[in-house]
Formats: sequence, C-alpha cells, structure tokens
Amino acid sequence: MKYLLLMIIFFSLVCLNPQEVEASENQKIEEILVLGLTRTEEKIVLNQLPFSEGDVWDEEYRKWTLRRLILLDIFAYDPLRVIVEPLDSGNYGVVVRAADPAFLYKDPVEFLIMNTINLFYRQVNLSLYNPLGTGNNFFLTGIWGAKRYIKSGVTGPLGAGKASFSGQLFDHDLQFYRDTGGELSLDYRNWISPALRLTGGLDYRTGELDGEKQVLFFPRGELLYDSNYTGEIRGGLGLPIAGDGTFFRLQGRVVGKLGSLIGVARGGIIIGDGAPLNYYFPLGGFGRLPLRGQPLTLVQNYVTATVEYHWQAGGFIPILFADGGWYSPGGNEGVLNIGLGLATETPLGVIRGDLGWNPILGTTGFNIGLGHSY
Amino acid sequence: MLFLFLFFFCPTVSAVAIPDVTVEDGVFRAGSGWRIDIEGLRVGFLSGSPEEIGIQHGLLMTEDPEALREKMLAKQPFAHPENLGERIAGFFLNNYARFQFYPAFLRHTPQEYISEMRGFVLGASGGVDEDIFDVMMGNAAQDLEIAACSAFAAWGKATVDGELYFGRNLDHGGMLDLASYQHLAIYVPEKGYRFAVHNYPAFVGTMSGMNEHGLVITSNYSMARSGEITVNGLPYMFMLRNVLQNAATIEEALEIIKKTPRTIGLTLLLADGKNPEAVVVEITANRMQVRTQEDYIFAANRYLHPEMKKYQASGWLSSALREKRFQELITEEFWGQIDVSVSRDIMRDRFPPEGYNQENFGQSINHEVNMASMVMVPSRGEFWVGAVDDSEIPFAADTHFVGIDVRAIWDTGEPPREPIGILPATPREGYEGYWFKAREASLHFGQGKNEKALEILKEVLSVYPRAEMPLLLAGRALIREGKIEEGIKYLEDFAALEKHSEPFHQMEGYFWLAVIYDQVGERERAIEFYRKSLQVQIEDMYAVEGGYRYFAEQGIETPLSLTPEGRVYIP
Repeated sequence: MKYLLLMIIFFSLVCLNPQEVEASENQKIEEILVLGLTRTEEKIVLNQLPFSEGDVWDEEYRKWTLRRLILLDIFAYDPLRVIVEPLDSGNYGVVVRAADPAFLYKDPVEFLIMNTINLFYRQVNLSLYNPLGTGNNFFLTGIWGAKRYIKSGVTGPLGAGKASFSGQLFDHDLQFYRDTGGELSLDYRNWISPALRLTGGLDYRTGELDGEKQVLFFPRGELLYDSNYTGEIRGGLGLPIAGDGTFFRLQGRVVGKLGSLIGVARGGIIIGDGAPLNYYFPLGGFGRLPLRGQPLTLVQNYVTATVEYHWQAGGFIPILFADGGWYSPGGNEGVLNIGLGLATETPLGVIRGDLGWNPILGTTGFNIGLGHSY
Repeated sequence: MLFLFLFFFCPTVSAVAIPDVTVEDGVFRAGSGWRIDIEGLRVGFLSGSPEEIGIQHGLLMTEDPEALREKMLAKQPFAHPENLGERIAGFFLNNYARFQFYPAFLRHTPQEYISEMRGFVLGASGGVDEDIFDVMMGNAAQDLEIAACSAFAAWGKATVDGELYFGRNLDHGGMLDLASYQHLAIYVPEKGYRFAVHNYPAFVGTMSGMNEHGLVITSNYSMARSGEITVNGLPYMFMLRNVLQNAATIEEALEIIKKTPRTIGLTLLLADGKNPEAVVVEITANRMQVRTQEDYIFAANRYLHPEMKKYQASGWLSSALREKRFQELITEEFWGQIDVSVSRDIMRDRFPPEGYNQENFGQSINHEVNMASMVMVPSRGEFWVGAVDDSEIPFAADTHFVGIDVRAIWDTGEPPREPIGILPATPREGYEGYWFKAREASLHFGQGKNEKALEILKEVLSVYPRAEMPLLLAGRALIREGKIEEGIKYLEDFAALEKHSEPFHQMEGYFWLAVIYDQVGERERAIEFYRKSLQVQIEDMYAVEGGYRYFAEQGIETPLSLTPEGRVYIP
C-alpha cells in the first residue's frame, strides 16, 4: 500500500504547472476612470490599484486589481472589470468598472438559496454590504446545535488590503472536547502581487476547554500563492496566559491540475507538548482535511495526498478520487480512501456528491455540498 | 445593526398637488404643461421641477394610462401564463426583476429622474399611486432586449445649404404596438438646457432628441459580447436624456457618455447643428470609441471602429445593407442636395429595383420593424416626425411628416397653431403599393399568421413573380403549413434568382430548400443546398455558433426533420 500512497503523492505533485505570464506592452497609462460606484467612495477603489497614471501598463495589473477588489467583498458580482482601451494619443486609458450591490445581498436568488441551506445546517449568515460607502461590511453569524456560536464583526479596506475585526461567543460540545468562551480576532489580508496573498492575524481566546481554563493569544500568518497551481502555508503560535503550554502550528497545501487530473498534497504539524485539543487538526470525513471514506479524528501531524480524475458526461462531471496519507496519533501505517463523485455546474456554482470508502477499515462516508472538496 | 437596517430602508414620503386638466381650442393644459395634436402628431410641453414635469407627463401624454400600462406589462415574459410552469417562471422572473434589476437601476439613476418618474405615476394615477417600479422597468426595458434602428447626419458639402440634417429611424419589433403612442415632448426643465425628444408615454429617458444648443443624439443597438454588457448601470435612455439636458457641445456630451456607467452595446449618433459636425460614439458597457467623418456619417447596428469590432457579438441585424445604402444615397444620389425632404427620402429607402434584375421587396434603411421616423435640423430648431396612426403596422417612414418649430416653443412656451410644414406620405400604388403588401405579409409571417401572409404574398407574386422576399416568405410559410411540394417551387424560384439583395436571406432560402429536400427524400439535393447555404458570405453576421449555420452543418451529416409547426430539428 505504501507504493500506492507514494503514487498518489507523485501524481498529486505532477499536476503542478509553471505559471505563464502574458507579455506586457509598453504603452503608458494616461488616464484612470472608476465607473459605476453609487455609494462606495472612489478613493477606496483607487487605493486598491497597483498602478498609477504614468506607469507602463502590465497585463498582470488586471488580475491583481480584480483580486484586491474581490477581496474587499463590497461589490456586486457583475460588472467587476478592468478594461484597458487605447487612446488617440497612443497611450492607454484604464476603466475600473464596479457596482455596489443591494445592502443585504449580491444576488437575491443566491441569498435565498444559501440561507435556506444554512438554515438546514442550523446556521444564519447575514451581511450588510458597505452601507456607509466607506467600504465596511458588517456581518453576523449564528450557529446552533453541537457547535454553537454567535459571531459578529466588521471588515473594511486598509491601504491596499482588507482588515477585519470580529468577536464571537461559543459553546462547542463536540465529539472530542467541549470548549466555551469568547474570542476576539484581528486580521489583515493583502494581495502583495497578482498571485501572492499575505495574511496576518491575532486571536485572543478566553474560556474553558473540558472544564479547564484556557486563555491564549494566537498570532498567525498565511501565505497563499494562487496561479496555475495553488500553494498555501499557514502558521500560528499559541501563547497561553492560562492553561496549556506554548505550541506552534504549521500546515500547508498544494493544489494543481493536469488536464483531467487534480492533485492535492497537504501537511500539518504541531510542535509543543502543550497544544490543546481544540487546536489539533480535524482529519477525515469531508472536512477541510478530507479522508472521505473514514470518520473524523483529531491529529497532531499529518501528510495527505489526493488525486481526482474528472471527466464530462453530458451536464455532469463523474469523478474518481483517492485520498491517502499518514497521520499521528493513529495513522502511522498509512491509510487509503477511494471513492466516486458526481458534480454538476449550476448558476450557484458546482454541486457535488461523493461516496468514499476505506477498504481497510471498511468504513464509508457520503456527502453532498457546494464546490469541490479540494 | 437594527438601527442601520431601519436607517436604510425607511421610505420618504412627500405631498404633491395634482393640477386639474383643462381643454380649450384643442389644447389640453395641466399646470404649466400642455398638449396638442397637430396633423396627427401629438406635441407636448413639459416644464418646471422634475416632479411637476412628471405629473404633466402623466396627466397629458396619454388618455388611458391603465390601457398603456397593460400593453407594456403584456410585453413581460410569461405575462399570460398558460400553465403552472409558466406561472412559476413568471413569478420568479418578476421577483428577480424587482429585487435585482430594479434596485440596480434605481441606484444608478439620478434623483431628478426618479422624482420625474414618481411624478408621472402620480399624474397618470390621479394621485393614487407613486410606485415607480413599472415605469422604471419600462424605461429600462430597452436595455434588456434587442432592437435595430439607424441614423445619419449630413452637413457641409453634402447638404443643400451646408446646414446639418439628421435622419433617424427607430426600429423595434417588440414595441410596434406602441408606435401610435408616440409624441414629441418639448422640455423646459428647472435645471439644465431646454430640449425636445421623440418619445412614448412613461419614458423619462429617450432614444432620440435635440437641445437648444443644437445638439442631437439618437441611439442604435449594437450587439456586444456578453462580458461587455450588464444590467448594473444607468438605463441608457437616461444617459441620452442627461446628454440633452446637460451638454452644449459634442465634447461635453462625450464626457457625459464616458463617465456614465453604461449597460449595453450601442452606436450613438451625436451631432452639433451650430458648428456642423457629427460623430458616432460606439460603446459597450465599459468601452467607448468615437468615429469621425467629414461632411456625413451614419450608424446602423454594428461597430465600424476597428477597436470596437473586437467586441461585436454574433448575430444579424441587416446592418451592412443599410450602411451600403446610406453610402450610396448620400454620396452618389443626393450629394449636395440633402435637405429635410431628401433626409426623409433616405430614411424611407426601400432598396428599389434599380441595379437589380428583380424586385426585392425587402428591407433597407426603411426597416421591417420601423416604428418611428424623424428628421431634425438642429440649427433651425426643426423637428419633423412621421405621423403614425393606430394601424397594426406603423409604416412610420412612409407616413406624412409633420414639422414642428421647437425653438419657438422653447422661447414662447405656447403651443403652435400650425406645423412649419407637411411632407406627404408615400402613395400606396405601383411598386410601392405592392411593397406595402409584402411588408404586411412579412409581419403576419413573423406573427405566425401563415395563411394571411400567403394570401398577400401570392397576390404580390402574381404581379412580380420574381420578387425576392415574397418568394422566400411564401416558401417558408408553405413549409409551416406542411405544403412541402408547393414550398419547393417557391424556394427553387428564389434560389434561381440571378442576384440576391441580402446574403442572409440567400442563406435562409438555400437552407430551407435543403430541409425540404430532406423531407421528400432527395438527399443529394439537400446536401447540395446545405453546402450552398454555408458558402454564403454574410458580412455583418460575425461568428455564428448556433442557428442556420449550425443546422446546415448538421444537415450535411444527417437528414434534418421538421415538426408539424415547421420547426427544424436534428432527429
């Protein structure tokens, strides 16, 4: 089985491609026009632009600008465009086209469907999109059931990036632990190049974990590379004021595509004996770290690889997938999950169902959800 | 959070007085506004604050607002649902429009026009209603459907006196039954320049107009690629209104257009009568290029600027033929002679048989769905409009044209007693008489009234047996009626014509002939005509992923079939 696992890892890495960059022309940007705003202040858009009048136009600016504008999450889905037009002078004019959405939704059908689905999962999400024109969104999330919490916050532009501040009260009564308390979080996120996004954040958490007092600061950082393949690395340092000891948590992910093959490699490690359970990695099932044929478990270290093969059959996308890897505690010998999926494109995005199987454990898992699992 | 929600969703309410409507000597008056019918053309004067203008508009410009509302609402998809599926689809679409399109249009629309729409609803409802949803969607409907239209401007050496003459046809199949509601509205707004528009009741925006500085603007559709259109912008009729109300020169108008969050693809003909010149502004939702020319310029429904051609969507709206005719008529037939009457003749052009060895009976600048036709002389403040009546088919360019001196009305605020002139309607005799019949048949065919269409077409063909469009339409109508053998005869005659005036129709004729031969089992002939249809070069069609070409390609591979209603399908 080790060879099989190694093959999965090999194919997941083969799927990575080098990035191709379009050549830029040497025309200067003579004029920048922001078009379509009805309540957002123009300077908010101008602050996101990685170019100024007088610069030589680089085709990469288009993607970079759009990524920054999308990150703010204050604009309607359509139209959000960066248009470059030749001017009579021979230089370029750049039109940044954006529109403000309704206060409560970007698309009423999406709002209705997503909130109905959320209610099914005992969850309510509400956002107020940039009501003051300052680029600030206000949000409120409530979840009830075993993982109860209420979270509210505000996001807004800060320089060429986005800052957010949120607070939550939680009462998680989960399979592996129970923690209650509150958390304050500060985040700053910015696309520092067309393909590279940097995130920095700090959490302050206070409460109880399985009856023990837990108070800690958790400074964290994340680097995301997203181009022809996606690579992500995240790290955080647990600095307890009360409760368990100091720990360092690091995880990474690489996703690549090669034709119909999709490969994903993931890894995570927690260093420090005092790491609390609620900072362990939830592995298995259909969570963020999928091993789709076996039940959820909490792990301290893991390496997994996923290979998926997609093809088109009418309006559907049948999928073959295999998840394999090692983890500890509990999976030092290696595990292999295989399965079948079926996806279809809808106006809301991909709807996908998966059936996974662990042939050694004899366990299965089934899930239907929006989007792919990688 | 709750405070914010309440803050943003509390509506504002204001009390407005609705004036009485009085009538004296055929002049209807409400507040400072009036309306008069002159030689079959309705002329209105609207002045004051946006809300006052709106109320005058609602009170004066239509006698039966409820009937008009019903007529406009009937254009909505599934307005008359026939089953549960259509009822559900109608409910969904109507609510999507209310919660997505309407708020988006509202966000982009200046408060002045919102107040004017509200005034219209108040006036039209006698103060009972003030919900502008239907009126906004009526104004924005032009951004959600496809029409045609064309226009030209000529000045300098091209015209008889060097002044600028502007001809314009409004062609819109989906609005034909509103044609008789047209009016000429002369505005004296509280803010901005005085202007005059050709319009329809409930339209606060416009598609054609002229202002006191001699600036003229009209719109023509141009299908832009999907990434180049959006509903999240200012409905384009408001943009044209904004230009008329706030621009005194072409440069000022271009600045307004450039800074407008636009919605769809258009070619705008923009002219200045005081310093005679005109340009065509080719736009998509995001792009804009200006085309210039000396002494004359014209626009149909496609981009001609090299930069904009890249963003043209596939489709066919007969632009090339109309452009060719503008070029021929302005530079060869009427060079140096263009005046009001000649401008009217250009817009009336029916591509006569000269140069062709058969009568085509097709459409040219005088388009099949022509619903309004007008000529403007901005330097003199003259606005000439074809006076359509409530006939089923407007034949707008062929009606009599009524000339109105809008400058005198701007200056005096009083209704004119006489028009400045009348240009006679086209006599319905000879070739023209049969041309009217052929067009009538074409519209009946378009509405699925095959028997009625065939009756007229056969009458035309009895006199003009080589008439191009009647042969094609008769063949197609017979296919729909299941009379395949008879249909072959007409389409063979059509295919045998030495010359076809419009390549698109040539392709259509070959294609349908091929389909018929498939039905009678003559596979070789069918393949021959599928191939012929694919060989026809259509300059203004661009890439066509679907439609005839797709089916013709499929037809070469496998015989195509027909439904009992005459629709083609791949078995």
